[in-house]
Formats: sequence, C-alpha cells, structure tokens
Amino acid sequence: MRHRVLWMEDEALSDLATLTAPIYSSGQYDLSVARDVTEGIRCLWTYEYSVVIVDIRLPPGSGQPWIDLWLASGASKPASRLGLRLLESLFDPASAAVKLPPPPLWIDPARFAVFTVEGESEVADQLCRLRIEPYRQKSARLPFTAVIDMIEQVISRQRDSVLREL
Amino acid sequence: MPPHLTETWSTTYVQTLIALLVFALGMPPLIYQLSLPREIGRVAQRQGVRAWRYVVFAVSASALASLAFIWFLHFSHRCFYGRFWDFVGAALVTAVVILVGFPWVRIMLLSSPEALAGRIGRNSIRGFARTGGLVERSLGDLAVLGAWCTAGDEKGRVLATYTEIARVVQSAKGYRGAELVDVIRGIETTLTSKDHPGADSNLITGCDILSSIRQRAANAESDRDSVEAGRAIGRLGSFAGSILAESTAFALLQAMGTDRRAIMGLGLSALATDRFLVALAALNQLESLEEREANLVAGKSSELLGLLAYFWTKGGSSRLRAEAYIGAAAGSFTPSFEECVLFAQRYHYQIAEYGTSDRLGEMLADIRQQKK
Repeated sequence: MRHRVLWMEDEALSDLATLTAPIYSSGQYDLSVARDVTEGIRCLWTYEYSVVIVDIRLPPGSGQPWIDLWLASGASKPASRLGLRLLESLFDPASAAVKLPPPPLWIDPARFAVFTVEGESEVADQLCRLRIEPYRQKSARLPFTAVIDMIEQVISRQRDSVLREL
Repeated sequence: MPPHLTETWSTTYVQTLIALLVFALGMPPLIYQLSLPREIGRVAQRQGVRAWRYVVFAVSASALASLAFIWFLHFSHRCFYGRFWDFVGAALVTAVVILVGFPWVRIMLLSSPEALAGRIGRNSIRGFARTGGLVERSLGDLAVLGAWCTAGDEKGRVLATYTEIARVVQSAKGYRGAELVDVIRGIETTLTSKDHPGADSNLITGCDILSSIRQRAANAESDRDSVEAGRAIGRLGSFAGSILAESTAFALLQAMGTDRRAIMGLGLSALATDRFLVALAALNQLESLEEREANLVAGKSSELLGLLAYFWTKGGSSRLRAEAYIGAAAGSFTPSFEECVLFAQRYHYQIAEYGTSDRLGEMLADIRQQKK
C-alpha cells in the first residue's frame, strides 16, 4: 500500500512541479497538494497522511481567521508565516493565534516536515518547540529529489521509532 | 411662428441634418458589428435587446434637437444676442451628440457577453421558478454565447451563470437528476469551442462546476446528469491534457478527484503530446485511487490498465514506469493481472475505444512473451 503524502505548498503545481516527478516515478506515494492553509486543514481533517510537508509561507485560502491573520501582517506571506501558525495551532494550541477544533488522532509531529525558504536559524526555535525535526531550505540549486528525500526521511524516522518501541 | 430661412440657410441645415443622420445611423452600427461577433449580436436580438428602438430614439431625439436649434437660434439670431443664447446653442449641439451616442452605448452595454449572460441567467431562473423547467431556447443562447465569447472574464461570467442555474435546479424539491443535460453540454461547449477555447482558469472552474453537478446528482432518481457530467469531465480532460500549461493540468487533475475516465483522458492526451510529467501524475493518481479503494479487481481497474497500456506501448522510459508498477502490483490484482487486463480489453472494445483495447492486447502479448 502506498504512503499517503500531503504537500502544503502554493507553488507545488507550478514552479516546483518538477520536484513531484521523482515522487510520481517511484510509484510508492499517493501525493496530494494543498495550495493554501484552508485547503491544507480540509485535507488534514479528511484523510490520514503518512507524511505532511509544510511550507512556512502559505497563503490563507478562504478561511476567515487565516485571512484576518494574513491581513494583520500586511497581506504578506513572509510576514504572516501562516504555515508556522498552522503548526502552532496543531501542536501548541495554547499559544496559537488560531484555535482549531481538536485535530484527528493521527496528527503527530513525527509525521510532519518543513520545506521552506526561511533559513534554519530563523525557524529552528519554533520547530524545536513544536517537536518537528525534518527541515529543508528551498534554494536555487535545489536537487530534484529534495521532496522525495524529505518524505523518505520522515518515513524512515517513523519506522525507526516503531522498531525502538518494539 | 417658424423662423424665416433663406435658401442658403435651408440648404446648410438640410446638409448638416443629413450628415448627422448618416453618422447617427451608420457609424455606431458599424462599430457595433465590428466589436461583437455576429452570433452574439443574434443572441442579443433574441434576448430582447432591440436595436431598432434605440435607432428610432436616436433619430427622433437628434431631429428634435436639430429643429430646436434651428428654431431658437436662427430665430434668435435676428432677435436676441448674448451669452445665454450662445449657451443654448452649445447645449443643443452637445445634446445632439449625446442623444445620438447614448442609445448606441446602451446597446453595446446590453449586448456585452457579460450582460447577456446575466440576463439569460435571470430569465432562466425566473422561468424555472414559474414552470419548473428550463427554457431550451435560453440555454441554447447561453451555449452560443459561451462558445463565441472570449476566454477569461467573459467565459467566466457565462460559467458563473451556469453555476447559478445548476444550483437553483439541483436545490429544487422536484429535481429528478435529468434536467441539466443542456447545461452540462453548454459548459463543455463554452470550454472546448474550436475557435474560442476557454482559458486555463476557465477550464478549472468548468471542471469544478461539473464535479459539483455530478456530486449533487449522485442521489437523484435518474443518473442522466451524473453520467453526462462525468462524460463531459472526461472530454475536458482529453481536451486539456495537450493544450494546458503544466500547472493548470495539475490543478485540473486535482479537481478531477476520483473521476477515473477524466483522469485517464487527461493522461492519454498528455502522453500523446509527450508531456510526461502530467501523464505520470495522471497514472499515479489512478494507481493510488484503485489501491486505496481496493479496486484492483477485474472490472474496476479498466481505466488504470488502459492508461498503463499506453505507457507500456509508448516504449522507452514510459514502458519502464509501466513495468515497474506491474512488477510491484501485479500480485495484488484479483483474480489475476492477466484476467483484469483481458476484462479491461473487452470493456474498452465494447465502448469503442479500440485504440486502448489494442494497446491492452499488445501489452498482454508482451507480458506473455516475457514469461516464456
């Protein structure tokens, strides 16, 4: 059975579409793309994913609280960092700007990874607090396997964790 | 008491009036005809935009203003001087120009595809509320409008009208599931018109509308709308796979959701034009879908196997990808991979997709050969 993967990235179907090719070629993953926070939340609440890759600079989509947050930051993706706000809503609801209903049980930081343009030093503290480890920075010379590498990294960490528990 | 006019003045006025009439009646229709396709002009006429009313108005108004001009100013020329009469003269000349131009501007606005779509939508919904049925002529006009208007905003307005009509019809209590066939065909015509195909954004919107019509029709008494919407999405996929920007093809693929025929259609047309990433995404979507829904059985995986056969017979790397999938998943098919391929071959033959059926045959022969 192939692993279900959600990639929250507004450019996944345009500028970064070539990064999906190795995923499709492998025939091992069922990839879905959410191009904004609202669509991402809808996916998370509808299906169970083995891996969720989140971009920090996501657009808000049609959800009003996310639009408000985005407008409050001057309608700027880099300033509003809605991807990070979403992760806070999922894993640190007490300090989150947007309160979500209780997330589905499968949602766990071990299934999440961050793929973003922000440097590691800019988000390391927050990601550490949220217990999200796999991180990769987008850059101009990105290898075409960047996303599938992250997916495999998350899956292998999950596998290792299960083996340790056994 | 009418003013006394000399022969010279009379001739001048008559010449000016004739020139004005020729301009009022000739120029605007020329601009109108050049700016609107004839088909849309006919739709405007059928929808009650009566140009002759405005022509009568333009001619009468300009004639009246001209008479007033002659009457007051020529007369006043002898009796009155001063700024007031200069102002009256200027106002009358300006009024003539406005009165001649206004009706044509009004006609242009009423005949714009956006305005016509809105008018047809309102009439259709009103008619549906009154009679419980959609007026065939109005839907025909909307289809013509959709086919001839330009891609982007104009087609977007036509699609919005279709959305509204579908929403009203499907939320009515008496909806039976077969009332929207003309609406579905109209949406398809709007998007796949040979001379004016829809823009990428229009195609995505159209796919969303058809999907939602299909979803809402799923539990209706008749499956006609649902089947017709499915077919339209499939044809849209075939149409889109070869012409769309890659990003739009991906977005369309997402919008197709679980519509296997549409995904296969998009994958086939992308593969035929060597747009391998799109074709691969379509194949991957079908593979995931059938695995997820445990459909790797004879009769439920015909679209997946059909697309896979095209990958196989394309040769080279495409064939490698097909071989990789079959190598990994052949054991999961029930009763067996070969049985499923045979079933798919018969299925595509029965629905006259001989190309797909033949490729399935070729793939099966190759696999049997490899086994030997």
